[in-house]
Amino acid sequence: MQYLAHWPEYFQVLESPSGEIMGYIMGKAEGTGEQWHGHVTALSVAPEFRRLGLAGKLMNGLEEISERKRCYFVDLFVRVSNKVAVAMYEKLGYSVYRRVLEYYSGEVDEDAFDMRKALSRDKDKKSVIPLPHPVRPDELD
Amino acid sequence: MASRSHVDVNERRLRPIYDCLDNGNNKKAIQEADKVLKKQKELTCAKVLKALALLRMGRHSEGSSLLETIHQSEPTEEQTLNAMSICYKETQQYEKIASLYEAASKHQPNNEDILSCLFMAHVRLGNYQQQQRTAMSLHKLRPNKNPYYFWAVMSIVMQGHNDKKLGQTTFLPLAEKMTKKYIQEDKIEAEAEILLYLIILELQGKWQEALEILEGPLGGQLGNELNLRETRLAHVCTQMAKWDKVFKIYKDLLNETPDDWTFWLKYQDAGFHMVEEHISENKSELSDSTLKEMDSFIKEKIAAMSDGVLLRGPYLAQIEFRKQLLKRNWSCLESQEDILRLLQDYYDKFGHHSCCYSDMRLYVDFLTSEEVDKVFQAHSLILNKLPNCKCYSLVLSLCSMQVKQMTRHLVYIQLSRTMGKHIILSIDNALRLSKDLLLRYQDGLRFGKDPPLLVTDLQYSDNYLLLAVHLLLDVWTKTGDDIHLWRAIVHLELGIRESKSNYQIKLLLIRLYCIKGVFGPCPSLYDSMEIKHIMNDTMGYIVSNHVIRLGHFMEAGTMYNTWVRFFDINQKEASEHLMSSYKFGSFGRIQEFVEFQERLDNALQYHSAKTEKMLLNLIMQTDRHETTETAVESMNVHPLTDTPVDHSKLRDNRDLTISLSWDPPSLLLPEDNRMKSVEEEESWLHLRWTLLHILLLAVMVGRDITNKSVVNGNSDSGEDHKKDKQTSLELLKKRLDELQKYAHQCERFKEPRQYHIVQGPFRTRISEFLQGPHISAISIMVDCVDYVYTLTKLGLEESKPEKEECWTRMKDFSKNLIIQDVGSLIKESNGKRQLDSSGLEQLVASVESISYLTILSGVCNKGLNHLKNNWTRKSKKGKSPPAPQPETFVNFNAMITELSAVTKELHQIASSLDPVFTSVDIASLRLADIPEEEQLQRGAEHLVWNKVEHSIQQSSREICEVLHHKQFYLNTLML
Repeated sequence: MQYLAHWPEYFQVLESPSGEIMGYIMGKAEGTGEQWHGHVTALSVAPEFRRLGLAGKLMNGLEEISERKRCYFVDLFVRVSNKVAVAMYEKLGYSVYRRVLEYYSGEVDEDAFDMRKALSRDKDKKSVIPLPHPVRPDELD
Repeated sequence: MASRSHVDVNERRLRPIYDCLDNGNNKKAIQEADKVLKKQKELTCAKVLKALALLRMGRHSEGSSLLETIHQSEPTEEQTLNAMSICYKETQQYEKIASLYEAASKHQPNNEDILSCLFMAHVRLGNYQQQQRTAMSLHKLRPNKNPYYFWAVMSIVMQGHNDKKLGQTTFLPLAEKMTKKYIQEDKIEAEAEILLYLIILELQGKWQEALEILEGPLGGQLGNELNLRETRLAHVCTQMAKWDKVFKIYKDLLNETPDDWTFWLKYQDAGFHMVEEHISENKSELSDSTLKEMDSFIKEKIAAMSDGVLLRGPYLAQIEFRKQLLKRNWSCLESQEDILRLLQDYYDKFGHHSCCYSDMRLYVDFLTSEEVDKVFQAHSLILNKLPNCKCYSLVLSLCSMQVKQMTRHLVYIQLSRTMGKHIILSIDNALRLSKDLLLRYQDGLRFGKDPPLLVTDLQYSDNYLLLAVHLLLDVWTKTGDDIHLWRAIVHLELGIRESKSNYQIKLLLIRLYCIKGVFGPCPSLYDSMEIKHIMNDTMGYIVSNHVIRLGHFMEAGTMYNTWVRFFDINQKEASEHLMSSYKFGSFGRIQEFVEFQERLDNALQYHSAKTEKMLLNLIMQTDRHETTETAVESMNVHPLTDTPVDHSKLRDNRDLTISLSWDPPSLLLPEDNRMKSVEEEESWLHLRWTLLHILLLAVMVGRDITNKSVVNGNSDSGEDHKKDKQTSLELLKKRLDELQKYAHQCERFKEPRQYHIVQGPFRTRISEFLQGPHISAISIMVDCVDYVYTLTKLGLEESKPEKEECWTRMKDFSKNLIIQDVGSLIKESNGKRQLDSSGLEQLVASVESISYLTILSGVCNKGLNHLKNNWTRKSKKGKSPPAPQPETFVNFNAMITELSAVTKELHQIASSLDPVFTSVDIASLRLADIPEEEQLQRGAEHLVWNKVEHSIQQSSREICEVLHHKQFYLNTLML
């Protein structure tokens, strides 16, 4: 709800004809200067509504809002083990910018990929040039 | 510069105190604060931090009095104010934060920060009037800062939310005028301000004005949210019945996003309104130009997908369009044949997606069962042949093709069930189909192996398992033979091993175990669904009606605590979100957040959990009367002033359709189930609330009796106390009267209500409470309390044989609490042994009543003890041989002895439930002789029996423990 109070425009929910929630996305815009970007905080599609392009639709919406806010790029974090998701984001035009070590804590800590997609304002696509070395979570800006 | 360095010095000195507080080292924080205060006596902030440390250590009175002194000195320094706010937040004294900043602001009226904090303090309190006043002060101070001005406007709107009538006549027009002024002076800066203006206009139903704004230059500035201007415009036009405009807006939106279902519905709705208007205006025949336009627009959208990704939207829109025509009996474009063909086409295109079922379900009502069969005719090859389990190779592409075929078949089976084709099957055929589906389920598991699924993924074939289990439940309902239910449980247990995140399996397992009186496995199933935040409200009902019913008191304590804490925390957090909304100017959210808060504050689940938690504490935390009094004190309730929950305000937020069921709509009736269940839940809550208050008030009466002896000789305060006592006793009697009358009104709940097995809610314990001896027992005992009170007031001489009768009545009646015929939970009928938990539920109800009667006896004991002391004193003074014990004492003791005997007997019954005690091994009973030969199944079957056995042991052990404490309690009550 803190996000909803701050970035209400970054919330989208998709409802099915029978009234179920098919999926949702929430995000935010933050950063200064050329780091001003849209961020995907959470994206989720219910199992029975997968492979219908809904995630792509939600992501398009988020990118569109970020374009209007004159962001330079959109980024997101994803578990390195979640191959299906990584492949899907690649299909949507995202690429791995860097690897974040032990970003997800749990029984076994797991690394995250920081994936990015440049928006029209970043003409030279500077924001997505991959970093050669992985970073630790405390080094994130 | 000088003052800056002064501040720096202070900051440096305070740092160690902050560090200690952050690390939770409160003791050291106090030492550090004292050290600073030695050097700098008047450093107020150090005092506040000391007070904070004291509060955190539980030294409340010291901390509070220190804080109070500082409060009265009316500090203005920022750091001090911040620290004090923290203290007040932690002690939940939110009014004090407001008065603190109010005072500070008086001293420094031009301090923007202080005023801004004051505004937020009022937001936290929901004091809209003060919000408005403070926002206006801020505006006067900084006339160029727009947000302050609009904080005031929003605060006025919210006053209208509180008082709808005044809102329309005064507040909203004022808010409108204020915003209009800024528009006219061209001072609007942010999109949020335009949105707020729209909210104000819409709340007043000023659609024309709203339309002008949206179509004008200000509307053009609404670009932050996707499609906001268009959808808002469409909403306004809908209100004004400007259908042609609505039609056009949604057509444009659909050109952008042809897969948005809401857009399609609204587009068609507008179109149909246009046609209807045309008919009524011209009193003429159906004009089909709009219909034709709609038809060709849909076709156009479908054609546009010919070489790209297929979207469900346009195809479903076409079916919806036909449905709407059919509903109106307009036959200009199609025939019924058409909807069948369209559904066939839809199944061809989307049948391999599992959502195809829920999409198609919306339209099969329009077809007969035979017609539905036709939908699947083209796919009969896939649908009817059971796949050969062994011969598939695991090549990825082939594998994924097979998944699609399997999903297609699943959609078919689900729709068949919805069409009522499963429920009519004979027992044999249902079992055969169930077996067939289980084979398909097991075969389908291979799809999850390569590529391997994530733990959070569900198995592709899980729904086969669920459908097979639903068939077993059909058979169980028809035959009453538990073997089918146990089989269902075993299959689900096996299923969960393969699909650890499938909450449908878990929900069903919880339900089935609870039906059989087995709560043991439920907490871990419930926890594994990671139910948190708002789900505590919407999903808690899954276990909340079982946990006490089945005698798992410890777990009940944990669960009720979790629920109550969620609601309590939410009340605090909600105000933080409101403050953020003001800070970021998200005015549209403010009303939503307030409504959300109201929804949670009035949640049925909240009020039930609160009441049950207190009743449970009265059972669990009491083994002497002193502990009862302590327990009541710590509840922080005010029985003298509390009023029953207003049913009209209660909100039922339960998500009652969370469990999947594919049953025909005529069997599911979710709304019907909800209405019936809400009525039952509300009545049950009311009975429980009244019972709780009877107990609380009785404890108060008991405390008052002793207070009288303390204040003896002080007539003034004695009178005061008398007044109070009168009220608590009177109110006690009034509540008892209410309980009896209300119970009388609840006759209709005597027969337990039945809801849908899979999807419906579960009944409350109201039927057992009304049918059993509980209300009578409580009533008689309250009479005893009343009698004791009279005696303490008028003296032992007032004891009359006819009044003494209440003790005997209680004594005789208490035997009714012993449950006949429990013996064992294993019942034999028709040569079959079945687990029957109804005795367990009765036993728990008796245990509860014994606990409450013990508390009431404790109250009597307090009064009688007081009398006894006086009597002993008097009889010692007398020279003559000691007088015999007054009859009252003898009778009371006889009643306690009987209660104790009843408790003992219940204890025996409870321990006989424990399979270990009776050396009956449930596992060897083979309640359900599962014929499957497979090792895996045997293992799972064994595991289920272990869980059952363990759960019943747990129930038995916990019940025994409670009774043990009650026996101890009762022993302390003998005079």
